[in-house]
Amino acid sequence: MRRRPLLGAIALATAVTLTAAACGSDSDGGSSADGKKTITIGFQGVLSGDNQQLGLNALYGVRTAIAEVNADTSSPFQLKLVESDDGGSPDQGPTAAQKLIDDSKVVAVVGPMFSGATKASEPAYTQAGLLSVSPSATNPALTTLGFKTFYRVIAPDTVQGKAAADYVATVLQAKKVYSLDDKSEYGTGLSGALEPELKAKGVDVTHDGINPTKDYTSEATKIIAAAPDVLYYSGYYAELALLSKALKDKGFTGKIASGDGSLDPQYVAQAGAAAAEGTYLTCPCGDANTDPKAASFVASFKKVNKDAKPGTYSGEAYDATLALADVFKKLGTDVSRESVAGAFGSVNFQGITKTVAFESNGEVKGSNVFVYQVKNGAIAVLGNTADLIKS
Amino acid sequence: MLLTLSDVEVAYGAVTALRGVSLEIAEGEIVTLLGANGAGKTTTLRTISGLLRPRSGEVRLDGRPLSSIPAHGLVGAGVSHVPEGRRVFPSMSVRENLLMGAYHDRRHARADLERVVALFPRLAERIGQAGGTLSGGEQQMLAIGRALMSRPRLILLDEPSMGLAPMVVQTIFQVIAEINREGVAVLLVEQNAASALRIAGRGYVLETGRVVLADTAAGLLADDRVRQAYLGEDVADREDEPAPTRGGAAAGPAHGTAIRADSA
Amino acid sequence: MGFLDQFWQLTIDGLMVGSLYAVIALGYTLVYGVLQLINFAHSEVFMLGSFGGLFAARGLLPDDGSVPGGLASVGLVAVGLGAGAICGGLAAFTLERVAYRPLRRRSAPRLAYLISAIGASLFAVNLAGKEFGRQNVSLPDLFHNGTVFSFFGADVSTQSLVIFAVAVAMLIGLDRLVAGTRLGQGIRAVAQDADTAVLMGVNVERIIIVTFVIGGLLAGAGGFLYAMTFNASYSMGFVPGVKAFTAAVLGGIGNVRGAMLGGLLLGLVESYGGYLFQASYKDVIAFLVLVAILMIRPSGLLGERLGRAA
Ligand SMILES: Nc1ncnc2c1ncn2[C@@H]1O[C@H](COP(=O)(O)OP(=O)(O)OP(=O)(O)O)[C@@H](O)[C@H]1O
Ligand SMILES: [Mg+2]
Repeated sequence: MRRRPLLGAIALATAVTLTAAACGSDSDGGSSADGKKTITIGFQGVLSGDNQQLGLNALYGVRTAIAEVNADTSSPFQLKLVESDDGGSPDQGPTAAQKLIDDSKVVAVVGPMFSGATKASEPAYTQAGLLSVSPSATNPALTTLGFKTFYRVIAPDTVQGKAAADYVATVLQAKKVYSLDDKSEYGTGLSGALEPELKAKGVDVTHDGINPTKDYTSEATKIIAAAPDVLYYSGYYAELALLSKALKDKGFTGKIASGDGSLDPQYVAQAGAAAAEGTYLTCPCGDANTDPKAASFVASFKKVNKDAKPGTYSGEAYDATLALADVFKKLGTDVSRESVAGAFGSVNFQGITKTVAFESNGEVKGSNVFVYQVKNGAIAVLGNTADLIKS
Repeated sequence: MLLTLSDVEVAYGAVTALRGVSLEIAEGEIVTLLGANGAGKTTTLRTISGLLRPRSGEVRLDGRPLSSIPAHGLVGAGVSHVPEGRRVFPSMSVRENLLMGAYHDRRHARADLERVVALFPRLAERIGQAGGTLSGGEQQMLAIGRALMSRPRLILLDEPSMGLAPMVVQTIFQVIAEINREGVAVLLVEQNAASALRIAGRGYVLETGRVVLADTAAGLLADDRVRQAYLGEDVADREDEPAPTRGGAAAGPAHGTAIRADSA
Repeated sequence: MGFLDQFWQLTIDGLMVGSLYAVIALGYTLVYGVLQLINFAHSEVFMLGSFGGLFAARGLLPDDGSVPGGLASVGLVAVGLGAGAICGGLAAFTLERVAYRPLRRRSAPRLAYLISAIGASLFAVNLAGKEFGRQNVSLPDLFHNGTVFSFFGADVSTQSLVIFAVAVAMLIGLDRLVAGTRLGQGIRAVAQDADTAVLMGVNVERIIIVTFVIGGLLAGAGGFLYAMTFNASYSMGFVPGVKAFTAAVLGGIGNVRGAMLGGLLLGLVESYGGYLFQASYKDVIAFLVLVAILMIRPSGLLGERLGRAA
């Protein structure tokens, strides 16, 4: 067969492409000059690929916190950052984690970010005894898998899914909901929390899953044929954008809703304002940009990050970093992987998104779920679900 | 001289195929190139049409060095090559194949198409049929017809009779003679030396890349080596046979005069 | 929501995407025809064309994010198509000059072309990632009026209609070009027998470069159409590229009408399959089709001949 080599060639091309994509970027955090002790922390997150913006949001939050600590003359130490890109994928997670683990100076990590990558990375962190604080991994199961050094400063999707279901059933008064997830760790976790609560409220639920792709035309046809009042997509913004476009194109008349993975201005940019208009987005996170208490954070974020505005997970990453700094301060001279991992569980730090304090399983205590909506081409906060449902 | 090769050497990588070939063709004559398999006949034709470039030596067309003309420009300069194995475009119709002959200059395409079809009535019957589905003889007619479409002054024919039935071979040779009568010079490579020498005025014999004999057709027909190697005759029989009259009649007076005119 | 209820909708969706696969597939098939070379970097020509078209059209959109609609939108599509085609054509021209021609001059072995193609591909992908960012870039829906007509219960939007119409116009245009012009004669002659084409006075080098450029123009314009619906990103080329390649093999690589038929068929099979099984399997279906053709009918549905276009 003459054309067999072509297949081999495709395989080869794929392999080369994937390998190339796997090569992340390094960046040097710079080192302090003024004799203060330097403490190095790591960041693991999605710094490339379709959903890179979420990674940048968090990374910029971390950088803001570090800049504040380093600018503070009373701080007994300087912070230095080592970045590691996992592309948001479970495949690349362990490699990205290993890179930070192998750097013996790293005493704690902010990240990983996506649930799948987190699940894949945590065994390595647990084994290395290296603390990791995720600003964004919300899959409920993550705190039940025996990861000893895993904490997160965001509520799990059980909290978000339940609140989102209550909102969809009560405020949007949906009778029929099409629950579509992206088959990722995050997506299935969120849809798994959403659906039972919807059913408990007497809503008719259709479950479906689709791996991330570009062409959502037949999926849109399927959804429209099912004629739901609300489509709830558990996945990330790049795909929701394409799905929204396809639905708009085919004249879908129901409402579109999604979770924190889609809460980013890039969603509107990529779907186009017309297709994104009216979409509801839930998140166990407040909006720093409109929260008066976070005004100084927003200002310092813009200063550090060339005028970028905080986005989804920016505040959480910032809080996680400052909570780490708080622990370092208390530990004084004895800052090691072991001491940090031992002390972090009892931290009590007033952050801008919430008070950072943990249950014994690493779950953050007390959290609010907010609802946002795309209005006139911008994402606006509607309020706290608990308040919205009451009123 | 229409075409001259002087001391041409051609190599395929490390394999030298032509080792100093010199030959010439005048306007309007038929010259045949004989030689065993692998002697370098096809190589000579491909060098003339620019598909191969000599390592040394020179090819001149109308006294102009061929190296100054790109291979695809040669047909415009009046040289048309009917390659070994016919090489008709298999998925093009007979008509499209013929029109390819007029690719470089389409001004006379229509009139020439009629002329060629008149020359080969078989092609007219199959004008819409794909070239690849024609019989070997039809393909050869098509290949020659295609070459004529370019209104050549010199036509290079590489073994036009190969693999064809005797009847068809006869037709092909008649057509070659007719083309020549219209003033087109012909360089004819043939295994069928008897037929070739019958219509040719002069001939060359190639052996392993060298010209070993060059003479008039009559001279070659009379040559022992030619008779033995290319006419398949037992040289011992030669005395029993009367002089080479066999070829004379078919060749016709026109070629007889051509030879004389040439050698004069 | 049975399959039959949705049959026409799925057919229309499949034809829309399929017509784009066909447009891209022509680039593979034309180049294969004249060079017997699979231009694996063609997918990046498509990607660069998408960006070119998208940026040109976005540049003309009003700053307030509104969309003109109507004839002005048709004009925007024309600008995007033109810019996409030019970028695609330029990319293909450069690719041929930089990645392939030097190899041809040296009569390099087949494998060298493949490696060169992969290298050029990686270079283009990473360059685009660096220059245009790693986010998806989109163009807002250019037409407001949504569904323009219903066909057996299937809704067709203006945008899909425009995409399909333009793609089909390009397919017909190319078919006419190959079958009915002197350039097409030259392309087919080189494809069928390059040496003999030279004897007919065909400038093979020129035909090769023109063939690359035609493939690039089509891929670039097709890229813009694709990005109107599916957004553009630096990594967008690979999947549609493989699908278009599949379409070309399905129809018979080297065969112009085969590529068109293959593209439309693949679009349909994907659309039906994505609905019947799971939308996630859409991409898998293309590969299954590829493997199946290679096993059952290696020379494709219409066979491997560029000349068949006539
Ligand atoms: N592409 C090639 N690469 C290497 N050697 C070649 C090539 N083509 C021809 N040759 C060699 O060059 C010599 C002359 O070949 P050529 O084809 O000119 O012979 P010919 O006289 O036409 O023979 P035939 O009667 O069999 O057609 C032969 O020894 C042949 O093996
Ligand atoms: Mg020969």
